[in-house]
Amino acid sequence: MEKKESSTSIAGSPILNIAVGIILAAISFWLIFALIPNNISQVSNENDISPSLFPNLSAWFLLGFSLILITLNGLKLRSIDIKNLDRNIIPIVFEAIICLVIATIVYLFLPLVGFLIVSGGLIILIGFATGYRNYWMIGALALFMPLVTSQVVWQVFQVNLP
Amino acid sequence: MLDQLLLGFIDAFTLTNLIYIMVGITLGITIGAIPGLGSVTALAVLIPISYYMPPLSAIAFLVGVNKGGTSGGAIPAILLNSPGTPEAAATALDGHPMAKRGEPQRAMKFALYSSVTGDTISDVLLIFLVVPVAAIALQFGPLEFTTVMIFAFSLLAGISGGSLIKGLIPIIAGVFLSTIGLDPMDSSARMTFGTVYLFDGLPLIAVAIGCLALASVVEQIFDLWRAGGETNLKISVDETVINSKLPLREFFSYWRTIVRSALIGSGIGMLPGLGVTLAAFLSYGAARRASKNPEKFGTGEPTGIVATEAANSAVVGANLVPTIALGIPGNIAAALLISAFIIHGIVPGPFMLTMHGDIVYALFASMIMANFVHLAIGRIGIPIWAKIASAPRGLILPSVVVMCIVGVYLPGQSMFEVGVMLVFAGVGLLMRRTGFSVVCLVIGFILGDMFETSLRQSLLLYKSDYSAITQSPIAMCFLGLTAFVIIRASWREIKIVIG
Repeated sequence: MEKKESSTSIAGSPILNIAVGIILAAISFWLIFALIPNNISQVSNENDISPSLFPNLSAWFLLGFSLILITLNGLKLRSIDIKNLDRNIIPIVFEAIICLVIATIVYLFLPLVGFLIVSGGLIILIGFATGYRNYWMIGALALFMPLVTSQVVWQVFQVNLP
Repeated sequence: MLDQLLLGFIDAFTLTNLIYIMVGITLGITIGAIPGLGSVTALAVLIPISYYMPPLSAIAFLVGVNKGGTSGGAIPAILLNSPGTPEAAATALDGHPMAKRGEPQRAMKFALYSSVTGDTISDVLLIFLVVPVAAIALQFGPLEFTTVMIFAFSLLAGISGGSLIKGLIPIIAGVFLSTIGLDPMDSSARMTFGTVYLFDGLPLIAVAIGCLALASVVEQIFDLWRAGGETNLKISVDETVINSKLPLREFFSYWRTIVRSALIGSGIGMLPGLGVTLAAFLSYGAARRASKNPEKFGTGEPTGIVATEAANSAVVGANLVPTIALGIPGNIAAALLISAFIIHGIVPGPFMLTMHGDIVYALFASMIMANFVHLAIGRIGIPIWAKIASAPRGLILPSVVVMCIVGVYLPGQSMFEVGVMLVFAGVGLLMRRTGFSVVCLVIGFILGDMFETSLRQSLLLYKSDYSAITQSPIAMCFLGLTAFVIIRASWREIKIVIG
């Protein structure tokens, strides 16, 4: 319960909102001035509207809302928030990096090594990460769940998992 | 309408359909009973499995999952004081004290019976209201649809999460993401980067499972990791069961609370964005105010359980009113149901009743049948759900992760969709940690196409003649409501900044 509450208070922190606003504003700029012009036809025929209108509209609104987010939270900012900058942002960055690494490994290894090994490895990793210490149960789950799942999927849906 | 409903019953009352409903409800209750998961996760993970079912069975299955998932959250709320779903937090207020004094089964029966009764009342309202609402919606043109969606977005943003801006940003982001793919009008490529996988846009199920189910699970994994493991989830109730009986007569003596709560839940379910949790807490508050003994609330008062469960289950049926009549989801579960409708070739909206009337009425019949099935399965399975609710999360969470991967891979057998799911799991996690509403992102993504189409049609029809807006009373009404919602939410935020 405490972790949930602290997570909520971090989520409402002005400094974090400003950081997110800056990132979103930067992304919006990139969308408006780089991605959309280079990846969407700007030409419209006389009976229709340019395909780039709606993406541009959304990107401009995103930029506008990001700037409003920065402004509103800038007005709420206190010096204590700046001192706690590292406590607010570093845990989130850390989690994002771990997720990125694990997701990349899963994505690359799933077609290479196969579903049985990758999902078994994931079960073991997550079981340990959650602090569950019954190693026999984790091992049994890591062994049998992928096997049973792949068999059920094949028998019922005629689909071969990677 | 009654003859169409009877025909619907004939279509729906088949052994295959009943089995799918039973399986859906069982899976829904099971997943809803696991703290941290819930009906949205259940729906997101199980939608791909519905691809292989006939359309009616698929929708009935998913509706069963939704019903079961909503009521399943009450089980850990009562037994563990750890709600399976956010709305069940209200149930825990009186459910857990009742269980602690030796009446856990009685508390779960109160929850189950209230859930089924509230659900049935809202299903009946759905059947009677959807036709007139759809008839009104037939008067809507592109301009009116555009303004309805703008209103729905503003309502969602104003109510989801703590901040209007933090609700609007994900909605706009979701709408932007929906533009990836081939242009719906002239089929020119938009941000497809030359890959054929993006011609149809980002895969909806991968986005939904990633953002909603997998992100939630990953968040819990990190929370448990930081906490050093899970606290003991043994059922913390008196092993001496004093009373497990709940005669029906006693249950129906709470009929005023049941009806009031079902109406509150139905009203809230029909408005986009308000959500189940609001229905549960509003109903609890209303029951407490109406009670002659308000001081008993929070000590195991049955009225508290009845009020919350009847309301939160009533949302399930009612949120299909705007979903079917307008094609606008009442909440995220309805949004996922819309995606399931689309996958099975049924386009929600005012024409759904005319083009797919047989399926719609069969769906209504399935929903009524599902309530009886829900009652039977829920009643029989009470001891089983109790065991599942206290299963260690170290085993549940990895299983859900594996099921997410399988669920996304199944339909297209494509690693691209698995990749998209993994990316959006990261996005969903970041959004949860920074207080942005994932629900808004997914709803913006689902409705983005419809919004763009209606906006473009409006611009083409009226060119630059903005006075067309003032000539449409429906459009003016919804724009006025939008302004009201935005001004009210903005004023709240400004007061926080100033004060």
